[in-house]
Amino acid sequence: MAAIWRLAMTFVVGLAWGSCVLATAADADEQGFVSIFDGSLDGWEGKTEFWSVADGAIVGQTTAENPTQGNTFLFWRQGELDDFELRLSYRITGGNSGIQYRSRDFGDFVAGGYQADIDSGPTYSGINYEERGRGILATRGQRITIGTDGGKTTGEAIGDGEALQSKVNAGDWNDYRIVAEGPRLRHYINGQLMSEVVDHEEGKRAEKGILALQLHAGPPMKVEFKNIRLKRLPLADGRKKVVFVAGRPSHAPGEHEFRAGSMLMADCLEAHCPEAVTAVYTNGWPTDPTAFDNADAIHFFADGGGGHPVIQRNRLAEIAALAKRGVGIACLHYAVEVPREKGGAEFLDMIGGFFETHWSVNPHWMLAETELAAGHPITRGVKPFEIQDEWYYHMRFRDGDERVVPILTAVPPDVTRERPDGPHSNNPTVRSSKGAREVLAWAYERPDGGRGFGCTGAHFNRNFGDEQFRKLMLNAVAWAAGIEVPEDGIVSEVTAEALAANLDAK
Amino acid sequence: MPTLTVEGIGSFEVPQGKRLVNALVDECGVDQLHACGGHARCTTCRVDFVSGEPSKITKAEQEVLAAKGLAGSAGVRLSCQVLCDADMTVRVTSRLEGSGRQDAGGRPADAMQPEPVEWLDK
Repeated sequence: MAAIWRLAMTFVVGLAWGSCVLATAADADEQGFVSIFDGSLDGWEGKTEFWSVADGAIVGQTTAENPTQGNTFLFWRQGELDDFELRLSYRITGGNSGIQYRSRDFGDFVAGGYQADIDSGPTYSGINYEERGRGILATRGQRITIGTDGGKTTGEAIGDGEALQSKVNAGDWNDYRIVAEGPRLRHYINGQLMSEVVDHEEGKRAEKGILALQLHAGPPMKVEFKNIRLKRLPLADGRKKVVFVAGRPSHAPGEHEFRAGSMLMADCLEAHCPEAVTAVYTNGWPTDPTAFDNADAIHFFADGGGGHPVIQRNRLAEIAALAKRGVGIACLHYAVEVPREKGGAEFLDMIGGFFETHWSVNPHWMLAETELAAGHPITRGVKPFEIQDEWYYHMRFRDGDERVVPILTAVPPDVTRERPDGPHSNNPTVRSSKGAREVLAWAYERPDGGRGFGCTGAHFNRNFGDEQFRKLMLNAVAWAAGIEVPEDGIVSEVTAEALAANLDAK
Repeated sequence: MPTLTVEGIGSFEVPQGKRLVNALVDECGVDQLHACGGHARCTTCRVDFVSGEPSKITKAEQEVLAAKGLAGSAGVRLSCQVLCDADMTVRVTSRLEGSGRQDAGGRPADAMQPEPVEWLDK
């Protein structure tokens, strides 16, 4: 009897251990994945006559009475995708669907770009189809490399396309997995690799873009999606990701133009810094729960002080943890100000300094006797410049902190030290320092290797039109992300139209 | 859902039963001419079939091809008179680019025009 009991216990313990191992492996496999569908269509947008939520799934449906004239899409509006892995479950009844990624918005809920295909028939599931573009890039079972000139090379087959179709549960739920790493795009269904594309084609490959779900024109159909999880991956091939966070509108037109300034800088980096991939989140803190997950640097351009977006809720801890991981942090203008008692210590750790009320001041003045740090990557190719701005000065730094490198200094006119005392206007220390040179932009190398940057200017949007100021800012954010700044700096051109684009409605 | 292959351009998924002329424009991104707006009055929407040519032809298409001296040309069809019911491969030979025209023509309707009251064997 005892032997039987021991045997039974061994079996039970073995089962428990086995399931524990399996659970742990499953947990590890899901590590870093974040749900981007919360059971509602919050954060998603499409034509409401076709898209709804039922039984915990997104449902796209056309009927004979309610057809779609062209393919229509449900857009994920919270962010864009660059390098990532996406997992979801789908079920299709009739017709054709697909998951658009790194795609473009053509308006009226039409998307074009890479598509992980979904088919109720036996032909297209798992293939890579470029909607509104090059069409079929790889059929099921194919490994395709597309050269810079668009020429296709077929590699060793994954398997027979028809045989791979047997892995798909017709009319039932299937698990889709998309892995996009640089030019390499892989589609898996129910754990089986179905197609692989390596896309190098100049002018046609996409390294970032939107996510959307497709409802195909044609006969009535229904498609359901659930358990949608996203994991952003570190960018492949040495590229670096800069995330811009632009605060909510404030101040008069042309001032504190967080959206316009952030988008302009992102556009300049994309156009003139090949290693940089950017993401811009506007109107305050990102709603995208994965916004910072693969960031190499985060650039904050927003109103600060007690309303600084970084110090709300538990965000300070979140950003401090990212900085600890080595993510660069750059703060521009008002975003350098946080309350000493809430954020001050963290800002000293992350970027080496901050605007401290009753210590720092915020006068408007024209730069004079400008000096740039010699030999620092951020000042490469930058010539001394003189522009009018609300150049805050007398930042709070740690005493004698040699990790803080003054990047831009100038001598404020004495009149800026004669204002009445106040939290932002003046204080005895500033008043008694007439003629002193002040730090207006600084770089900071954290003891653990991460980088920080602060600059007090950029009150006026027009100053992004100054070639030298713009280059300094671009060099700085690139440096913060770990990009090697070119010898001549990041050279960009900005038209009057570009400067006036994306201004907030005020 | 059929696959429409356009030689030298790519292969595209096309909604079942869509007019070929509109599929060439919408799905394949081809600047296909259709000067009469898809009414089988001209031949600017013609394509060369490489494979998958439908065996049925509308009476209107047959008459236009005959009138323009194209009836004997193997594989030449009017894309406005063809529906994408099966996989097909075509060569586009009548595009806006290089035509000297200002535009490709009015957008053909979704439904075939004239209404194909009579289908004939080609």
